[in-house]
Amino acid sequence: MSFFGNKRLIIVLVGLVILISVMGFTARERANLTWPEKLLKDTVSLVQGFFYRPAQAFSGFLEGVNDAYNVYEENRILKANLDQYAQVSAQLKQLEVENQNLRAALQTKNSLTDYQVRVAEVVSRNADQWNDVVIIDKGAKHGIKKDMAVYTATGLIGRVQSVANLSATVELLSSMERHNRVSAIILSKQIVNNQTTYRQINGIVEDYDPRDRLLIMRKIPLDQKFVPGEQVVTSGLGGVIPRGLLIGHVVRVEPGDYGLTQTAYLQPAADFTQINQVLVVERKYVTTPTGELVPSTELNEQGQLLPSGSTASTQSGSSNQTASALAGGGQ
Amino acid sequence: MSRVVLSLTLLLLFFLESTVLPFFSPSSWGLSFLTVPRFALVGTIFVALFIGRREGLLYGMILGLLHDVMYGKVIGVFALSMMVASYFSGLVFLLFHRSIAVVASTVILVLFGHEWLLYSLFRLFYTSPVDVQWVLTKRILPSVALNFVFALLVYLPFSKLCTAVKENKETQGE
Repeated sequence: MSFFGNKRLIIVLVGLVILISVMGFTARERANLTWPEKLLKDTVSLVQGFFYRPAQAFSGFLEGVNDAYNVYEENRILKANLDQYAQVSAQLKQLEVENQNLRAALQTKNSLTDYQVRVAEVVSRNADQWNDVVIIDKGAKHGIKKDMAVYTATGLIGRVQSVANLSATVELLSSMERHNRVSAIILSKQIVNNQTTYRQINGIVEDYDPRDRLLIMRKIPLDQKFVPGEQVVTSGLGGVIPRGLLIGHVVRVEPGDYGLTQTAYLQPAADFTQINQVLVVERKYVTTPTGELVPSTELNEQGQLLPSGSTASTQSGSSNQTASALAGGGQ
Repeated sequence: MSRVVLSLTLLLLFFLESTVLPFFSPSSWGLSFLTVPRFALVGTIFVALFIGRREGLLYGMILGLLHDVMYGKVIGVFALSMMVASYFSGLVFLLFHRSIAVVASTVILVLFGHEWLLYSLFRLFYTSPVDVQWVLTKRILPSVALNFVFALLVYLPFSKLCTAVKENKETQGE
């Protein structure tokens, strides 16, 4: 009687029920955002751009002042590196030509490395450790789709988590609460009987250690040997991320959870603390959950096949990525 | 008029958190601890203290919801935590007289409680465990310290603004 008479209590209870059900609903993996979310994200990210740009310019200026003090030393090291660079780039050209010729001989049509890149500016960065995300100023209007890989000039930083019309949210690899896993390979060099062999060791980058700020790469086969210092790149086997984007290098190796695999700790190549300009990668051909290879133009903004495609996929793109990444890692 | 100024100030604090402050965070200088600016929360705590707990609850909910939609995957976590934090800070003046010591200790306790609530809420959705002691010393305590310093800096302007809003409200109410 008095319970129903207490209007305030009823309001509070109804509010709590609504809040908890919204939390429960959104905690699941969602394919796309609702329109109020998109509208809010677009407007707020537009305003955030006005704040972020000057802050970025100011911080860049301070960094410039700092750099001016050690210009001499830096110049000396850079000059030494530049001599090697000319040689390495000549070597690279040669290898590229060779690769192309071999590909032509084998008549392969497309490779895992075919992709195009879109440049985007960061407009804001969430500072807390739970959802480590950045918001970029390009969205569905500019052709950004869910699950695309995002990298900076120095290395892979994450993947597009959700897309609004004029902005997109990028979940960083350093996020503690993250759902993306990246299929990766360790570029290992071994010398056996004075012969150098190059091996590509599969694994999955699936976690982040916030204490040491290292990425954790798991499910590496036990019989593969590699040493700290070797570089890790994306493998392209997951279907959405292309092959060959630099992730980082191995810092230490440990036995895996059940002793059946190995775990490597990686120092990420990209600096997660200062992200200003990012590159969003669109692969020319994308693997669908059913294992088909389709051109990425046939996907909608959620990274799913358009209805005109032969099989409409109900799975979201990221679970697809996980599944095929697992398959890739097991090989 | 003062209400509009107050709302815009809170919104401005929310924008500063994610745009300007990351450039000056200690982790970007290579230090091991992380300070998370919660300036909007500091604002809503002051609103709850100086205007009333229901106002604080409302502002906390709106700013929390904005945070959730912008950055979070799970919508409602920050709405809940900021709402609860501001409401409880508003309760304090029902028990104690207003003085700077009470305000300071309330702000510290509520900031700490808010971080702690967030930690426990995210533990629900986040599978692999994070060491409690490490989170406490490297994340929560530095964040509380930063936000408390900010609270001390904006105490006077905020109390003036909030008192103006409250007076406006009371004259309109009569």
